[in-house]
Amino acid sequence: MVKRYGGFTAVDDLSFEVPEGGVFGFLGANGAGKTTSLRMALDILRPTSGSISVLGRAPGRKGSGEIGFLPEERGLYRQMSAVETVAYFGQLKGMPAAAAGAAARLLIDRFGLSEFGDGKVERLSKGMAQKVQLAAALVTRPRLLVLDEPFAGLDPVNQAVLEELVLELSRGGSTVIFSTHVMQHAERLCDRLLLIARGRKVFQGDQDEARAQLPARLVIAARADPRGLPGVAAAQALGPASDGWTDYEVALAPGSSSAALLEACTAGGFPLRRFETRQASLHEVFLHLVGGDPEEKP
Amino acid sequence: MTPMLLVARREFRQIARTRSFWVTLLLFPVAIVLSQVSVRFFRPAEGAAYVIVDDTGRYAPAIDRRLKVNAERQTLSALATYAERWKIAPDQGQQVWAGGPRWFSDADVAAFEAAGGLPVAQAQIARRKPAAAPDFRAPKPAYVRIAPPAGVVTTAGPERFGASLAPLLKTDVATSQGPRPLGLAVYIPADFGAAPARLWTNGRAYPQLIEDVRQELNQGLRLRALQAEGIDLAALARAQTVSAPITLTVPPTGSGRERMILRSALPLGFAYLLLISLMVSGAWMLQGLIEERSNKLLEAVIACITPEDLLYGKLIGVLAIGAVMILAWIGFAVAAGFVFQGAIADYLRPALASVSSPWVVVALVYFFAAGYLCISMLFLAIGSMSDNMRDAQGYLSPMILALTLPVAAMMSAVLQNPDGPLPRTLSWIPVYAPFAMMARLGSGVSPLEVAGSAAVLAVFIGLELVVIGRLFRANLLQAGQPLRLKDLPRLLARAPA
Repeated sequence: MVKRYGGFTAVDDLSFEVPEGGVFGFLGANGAGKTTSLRMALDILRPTSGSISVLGRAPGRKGSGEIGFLPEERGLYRQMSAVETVAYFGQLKGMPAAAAGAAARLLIDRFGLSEFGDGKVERLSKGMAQKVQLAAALVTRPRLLVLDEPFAGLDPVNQAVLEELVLELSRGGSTVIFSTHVMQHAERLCDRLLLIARGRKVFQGDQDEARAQLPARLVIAARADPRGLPGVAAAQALGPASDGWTDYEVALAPGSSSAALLEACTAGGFPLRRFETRQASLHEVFLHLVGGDPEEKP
Repeated sequence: MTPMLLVARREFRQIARTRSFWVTLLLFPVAIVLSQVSVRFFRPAEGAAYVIVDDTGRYAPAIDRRLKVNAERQTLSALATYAERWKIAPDQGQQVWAGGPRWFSDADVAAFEAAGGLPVAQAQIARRKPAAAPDFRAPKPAYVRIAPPAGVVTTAGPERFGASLAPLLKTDVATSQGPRPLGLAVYIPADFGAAPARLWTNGRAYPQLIEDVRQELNQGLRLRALQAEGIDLAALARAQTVSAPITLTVPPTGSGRERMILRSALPLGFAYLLLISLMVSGAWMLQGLIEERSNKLLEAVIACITPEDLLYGKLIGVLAIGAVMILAWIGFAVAAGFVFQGAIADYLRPALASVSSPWVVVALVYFFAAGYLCISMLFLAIGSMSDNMRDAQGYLSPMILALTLPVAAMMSAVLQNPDGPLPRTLSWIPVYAPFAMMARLGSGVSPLEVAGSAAVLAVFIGLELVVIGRLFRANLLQAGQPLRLKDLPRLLARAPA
């Protein structure tokens, strides 16, 4: 899909598929096109060109109860009660009034807001209000949950609560798509990832595949310089020798693996006291692929 | 319930829960009650008292007689109106008051008095009046003569008389009709003619009283002059009873210009109510939309429903609020009519005649609903382009001025001439047409003009729905990026993606 605003291309020929079940991370820096893409998937915006299929059909309000959506910019009707708000969104998605009311009450209780359920939303704290918003997205028990920057503005405690909830929904069979520019959340939650930059897809795959985008790095303790070993591209001593042993950070040559290096050391009688594989973090992968810090403002 | 109706219900509830809604709803009936109470308790006393010192002894009786005839004429007129209103015919013969309200000459008054005056008329009415009719209450005489109050010097010339009277002109004095302001004091010196008569007033305007006194003084002087010329006073007196045979025809009550005003009253009232309720409820809707935008609510809502559902739902909601306000106000007005009866009921009857035709009612309802849609959409357009109320004020103030000034001018023009150029022109301009047509409906507008104006309005609303629907969709999620004028043609040409 492509989305242009005048001369500015917000989403540029982006194609991806989200498998059913699991947690799908939609990653990118601020302004990368994450929100625009999600809005197009929800028919809030129409693509300039391209086609989209969500749950087997074109985006639209038909069957909107199968999709829960928590937008990045959040708000509530301040004069409505928490239960009324959740029930209202349930009804907007086609639930009968009684069922929406009952489901709203259950969710509000489940989120620990029972005593505030009938009070006006304007009296709730920010964390409580965000739970009400999430309840509004969940009231129809959606098959697909779209969370746009769900952790923004939450304190660490509530971030942990939300992370747990996302995993719980995923275990319950829902597909969760969430966008974020905070790689730690993606690292903890996502089964699969889509990384976009300036509206274009940069990477799609699972976390291992993402990390494989960067050469593995090793730390070894050896008596001799490891640079002559097969598969070693570079090695740098991390400090002076101690009892004849020196720590080295080793960079492997493309196509080489840490397992092959270990085998070569063992077979060649190369003495080792430490052999530690260091996987790249998603943050490092992001920096490597995009060339900028995801948390920096555009 | 469809999403559109859900939005309408939420919109309605949100507005109905605000304090300002109830204040506005109650403001109108409170104003009616207060106006009635103030009229009853604070209205100035009717008429005035007057005092005459007549050193000649000739003029005061003539003035009293003139004022008595005028008072009798007033009674006769009220009696004729009452008899016509309750369809009461006299027992026997042709009573002066039986022919309906008209101008009653001095001869008519004399005939009325000769036939027994008010007591006889009241007795006849009592026998013939229907059970529902209230008793006839003769109007109190406008002017009542009193004797010079104690302390007023009447025997030492006009200067002393005026000086001693001056404090009394600032207060009410006791009369046979209750306390009244002392409106006029007259001093006629013994050598009146050579010396002037002196008149003192309390500063309020009693032009009829002063004119009657002036005429009687003139006539007395002229009679004396004619007598000095040797003309027979008896012949003069006979000649004075001769009056020009004039038949003055005035439209009966509830006809002519009065009829037009009465018939216009209710539709004009509807037009005013439409204007007031539109301004108030439009502002509420605008505030609600801006709150949704600033609260970042809209994205979550339009993920569930289409922007069009949201737009139409808001319009239905605000239309319902307007209808509730109007119905409540009409209900209060009807209740006030029952409570205060009398004048209001008599006033309402001819006014209601203007909406007795089902077609007029249909037209009123159409123009009311269409007016609400037409103007409410302008409020929605402003709301969809504004991030906060300060932004909105930039659009709102010019729009309200552009709307209300011509409407106010048109409404006063309608009372002068419903078919005048301003009302007719505005009837064809869609944003003004609901007000102009509602205001004119009571005085009779040709069906062709009503249909034409309604059709133009319908087409305009259709266009408005398309354009404002696009504007709404294009601007809902564009916080901080106000619509630029150069974007408008593009928006009108095609729907936003």
